[in-house]
Amino acid sequence: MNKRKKLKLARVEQDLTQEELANRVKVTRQTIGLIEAGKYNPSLKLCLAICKTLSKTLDDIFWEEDEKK
Amino acid sequence: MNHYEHYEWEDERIKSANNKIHSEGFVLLLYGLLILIIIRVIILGHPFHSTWDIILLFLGASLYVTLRHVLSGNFSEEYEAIQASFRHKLSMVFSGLLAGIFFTVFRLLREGFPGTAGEVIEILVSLIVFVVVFMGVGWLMRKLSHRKAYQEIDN
Repeated sequence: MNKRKKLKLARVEQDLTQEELANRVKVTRQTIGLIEAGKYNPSLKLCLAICKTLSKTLDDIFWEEDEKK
Repeated sequence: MNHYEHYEWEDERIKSANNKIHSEGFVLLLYGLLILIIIRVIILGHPFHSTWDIILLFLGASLYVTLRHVLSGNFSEEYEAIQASFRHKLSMVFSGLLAGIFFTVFRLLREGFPGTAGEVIEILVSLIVFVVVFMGVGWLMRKLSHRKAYQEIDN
């Protein structure tokens, strides 16, 4: 599963909307939307903030397995 | 509390997009100034006292950008490449020669073509001095930048 789906899934598991997650990590809803759409690569700082908010590790959300494997 | 009041300034994506837009605007402005100087000085032949403010602004902005790059250690890789490879040394010499040719063409267009052998020699000497100083300053800047980059790592 790629990171955009993992992020969306983790967010939905916590019953958060894009806007609520955005408010908690102090970014705009568009930024969360763009990360989920795979159109923006967040900084490590923002990745950590998202992971902490969603009670996940960086591996859980942002690690991508090699597709050939 | 209105959540949207401060987000615009904290969102890293917006900040980075703002920086990119400002940087592109700055580059446009810098090139605009360069074109303005070329048109006024070379094409229209305006005297120096009527263009010094634009020239000073252009040189000041260029100097600021260059110094910031040097002090940030951004030329460190270039310095290492020049030290390590003949191709990079050659490209440094070529860029020096190219700048020297531009400088000489600019001078000839501004001051007219030489009439006597003495004037030709004077132009050749000034070309050589320009190329040597250009390469020397370039090499010194890269060396300083390299030193700054390693200072930051060591600290």
